[in-house]
Amino acid sequence: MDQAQVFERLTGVFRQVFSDPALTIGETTSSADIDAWDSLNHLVLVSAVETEFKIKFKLKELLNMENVGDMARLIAAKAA
Amino acid sequence: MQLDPSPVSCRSATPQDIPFLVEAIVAAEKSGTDKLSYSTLFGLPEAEVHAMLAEALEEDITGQELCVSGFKIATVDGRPAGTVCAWVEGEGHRSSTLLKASLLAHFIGRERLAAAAPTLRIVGELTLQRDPGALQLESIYVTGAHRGRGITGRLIDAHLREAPAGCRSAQIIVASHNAQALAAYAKAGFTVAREVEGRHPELLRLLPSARKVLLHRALAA
Repeated sequence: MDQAQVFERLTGVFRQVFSDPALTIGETTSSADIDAWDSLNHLVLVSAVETEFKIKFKLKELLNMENVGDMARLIAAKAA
Repeated sequence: MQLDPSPVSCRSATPQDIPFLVEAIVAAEKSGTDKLSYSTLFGLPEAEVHAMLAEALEEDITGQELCVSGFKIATVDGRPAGTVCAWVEGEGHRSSTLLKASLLAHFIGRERLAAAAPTLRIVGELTLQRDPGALQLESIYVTGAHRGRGITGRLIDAHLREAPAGCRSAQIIVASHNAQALAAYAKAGFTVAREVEGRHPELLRLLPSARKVLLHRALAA
């Protein structure tokens, strides 16, 4: 799966989790850019992403993830 | 004639203290009620919550509340009598709540998290933001036999003495129904800075209180 495909599907997940059909995300998007990205929505987001891509993040990966770009690269590697 | 009680000592927690830390975290979460949010939100039996918290503590991830090295322990006759966790909010530009959420996401698993999503949205209205750079105090607990001896104050002071230079304030978030805890924190110099009250009718089924306060104490520069 290439990065463009990952971002397309990831955008759908973000729009659903944050209840915002117009939400756009990019490489550098982080929790600081989305008001609703709090700890509780972070739990929902991780679960929704893992379900969408049928993957499981390692703890170290979750802890080191700084932005959507990091998340997309991990997904691309795991779902390849 | 009543004998003087054994003296209280303070030390940093070690991995051997994890069972006591789990007891403390669970008691602090329940805040004098029988509602354990990890159980009500995620459908986890209490024994599984204990196991999950122990695993999370073993990771010792700094900058958030489920971290062994962030705890100080008060002991009496060599046995744990109380504990308080502390960290500086936002160290390394990481929010403590997102770090903790990542830990929980890993240990709780996606099926339980997916099932909990609607409930998590309900409790989201009770969020209080911690101030970056402020020393956070959490999981404050003293065993029943040792309450009333000033142990909470001793533990808080021990953390404040070790606060990094430049740390200008300390904060505690507590359920507002807990009058005993609020009195102890007021005695330690904390005052109410912010509060939040939830309106959803389900909140009191899920959490010990539908109202939380953030307490503040200024620290000497």
